Amino acid sequence: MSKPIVSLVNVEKWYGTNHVVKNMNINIAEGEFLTLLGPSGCGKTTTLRMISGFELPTTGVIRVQGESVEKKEPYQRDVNTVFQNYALFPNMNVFDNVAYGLKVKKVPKEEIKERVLKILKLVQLEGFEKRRINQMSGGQKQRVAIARALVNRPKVLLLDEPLGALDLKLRKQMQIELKRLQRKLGITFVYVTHDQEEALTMSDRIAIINQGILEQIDTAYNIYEHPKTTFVAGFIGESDIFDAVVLEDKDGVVTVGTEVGKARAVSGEEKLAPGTAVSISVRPENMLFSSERVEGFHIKGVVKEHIYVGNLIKTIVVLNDGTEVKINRFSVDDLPKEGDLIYLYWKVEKGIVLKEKSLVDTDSARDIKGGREDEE
Amino acid sequence: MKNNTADSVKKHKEKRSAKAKISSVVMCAPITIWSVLFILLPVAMLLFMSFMTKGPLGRVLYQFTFDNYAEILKPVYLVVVKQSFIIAFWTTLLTILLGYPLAAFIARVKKKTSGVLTVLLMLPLWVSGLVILYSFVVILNSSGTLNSFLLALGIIKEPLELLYTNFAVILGMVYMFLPFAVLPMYSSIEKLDPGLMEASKDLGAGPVKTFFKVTLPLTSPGIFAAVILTFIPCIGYYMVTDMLGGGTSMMVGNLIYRQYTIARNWPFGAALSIILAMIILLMVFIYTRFGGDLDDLGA
Repeated sequence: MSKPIVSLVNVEKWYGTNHVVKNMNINIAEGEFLTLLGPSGCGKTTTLRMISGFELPTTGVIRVQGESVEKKEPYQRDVNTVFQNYALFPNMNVFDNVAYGLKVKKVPKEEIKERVLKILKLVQLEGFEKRRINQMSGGQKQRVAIARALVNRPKVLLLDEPLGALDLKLRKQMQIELKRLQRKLGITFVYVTHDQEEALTMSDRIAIINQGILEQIDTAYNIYEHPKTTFVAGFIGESDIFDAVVLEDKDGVVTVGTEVGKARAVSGEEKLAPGTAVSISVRPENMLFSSERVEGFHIKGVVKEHIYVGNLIKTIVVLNDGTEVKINRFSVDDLPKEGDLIYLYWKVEKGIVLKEKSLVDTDSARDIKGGREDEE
Repeated sequence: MKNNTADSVKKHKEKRSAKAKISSVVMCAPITIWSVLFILLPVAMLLFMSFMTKGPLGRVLYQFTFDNYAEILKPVYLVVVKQSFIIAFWTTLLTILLGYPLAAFIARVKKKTSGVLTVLLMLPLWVSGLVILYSFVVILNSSGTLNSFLLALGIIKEPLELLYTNFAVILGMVYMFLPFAVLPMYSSIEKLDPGLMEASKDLGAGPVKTFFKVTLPLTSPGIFAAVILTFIPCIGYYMVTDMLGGGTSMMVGNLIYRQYTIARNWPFGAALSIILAMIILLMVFIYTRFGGDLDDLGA
């Protein structure tokens, strides 16, 4: 990576006895779209607020453009935030809201006008200058909030669940718009969300955070195809996960034994000793089935039901120990019948060996509720 | 048949609406009678009285005249009106300046603490005003608590003239009206989204700029309400001026009080009351024109 524009080095955050962010190390490249993704209360908003300056790390260093920002107030940092509930000033119209940052910095009037009009055009709000905030729809407010931050030409734009209050259709549209805007401007975006689909759609890289710990940071593709932990596999997309013990690791293929029978998966860089406890993760769309046993696999179950969800059909299969496994298909043509006994298998390379459940040390993590209340 | 059904439905509806009408009349009757008897009628009587003529020995002659209103324009009474406005102005200003930070503080602490603080704030209202004002007399007089304390410390050589001054009057007024002023300001500060202050800071404004550009404009309805709730009762409140002002200062309230008691000039007292009511109405009108909400005044 070229020189990072923002870097978090061993950042920790405690609220009293609550350990909210644990040993966070993230380097954010210039022009990157990075998403902090995790469940409610995982510490992602707190991490963002430490970059913006509204919270200070308990220990650790945050650098923006190589310079520690520890002693800098939010208004002295070269970053701007798009807030969760927009936080637009209700006593000002659209123009004055967007111009606020420039007026405060005493930019000449002519330049303010020019820059505000230009940025409003960019977010497709031309002609809305005189509107009052309470006359705007949710999507329009969101655009004003983005314009108000961007007009200051920040080095980094921080976005705290900016689309959370919008309806699904508008949200999808804004996702694409935001991504385009970011590409066009080349500004670094750090984006907080708990919506995994949103993260996959927009991000160059995704940082998965769980109970204050960075589980994995990688491209959307790698996070989806090569999750490092059970938590990541379960949080991003759907996964069928089997607890397993390694029986053999030979010629790039790991054979494991699970509660419900034998299975195979592709081995990693590191050779696994027989007896190692691992998890095997398979995406439901990669789950195959047959009426007969397939070599290397011995997992069977009974088809319980089909669930039609529009673009795909989910088939629930009950295994002989009572656990349920999902199979996703895009057409009704190749589905097993309800009540059929089927054998499950997958292409070896679609089975992912997960050596860790999560990077969270479960003993010390149990009492952590984490995060700010408004993340709930 | 169809018509029949429609007719019976219509009749049924009419019956019901007639019933509803009767019940709403019955329900509104007590408050209507109350309002007419105890609000409308007295005001009408007051208005009537203000146009009557003062008779000998405090009697009222039922002869129509404008003299009472003309009387108010005499310099001696205009001085009283001016004095009232000056005292009300300073009282209001000080109450707001003291009350706003207090309101902001109560709005910012935890919910539990703010509840306790609100009760503490309202506590003086449960004590009789007379007791409070007598306490001020005890504290402020020349051999009183404050003077003895300052003398003992050697900060002053001579006792300060505190009681029976405008200072004492304004102090008493501020004490009386502070709780009323804090509550509306508290409610508007509490409603303020803290995200707005963060947004302002994020956009480059320091705490002072944030206060004047965001916090103050957005809490101004609360401040307006506080001004109204302080200024208006202050002009008419005569107890404080009576007890802490001695004979030195007189406000419109005192003047009215005297017309009804010592001077026995009811028509003039009535005219003064009407004028005072008009001033108050005018202020409330201005308040609502500036976007003020009557609910915030406890209306």
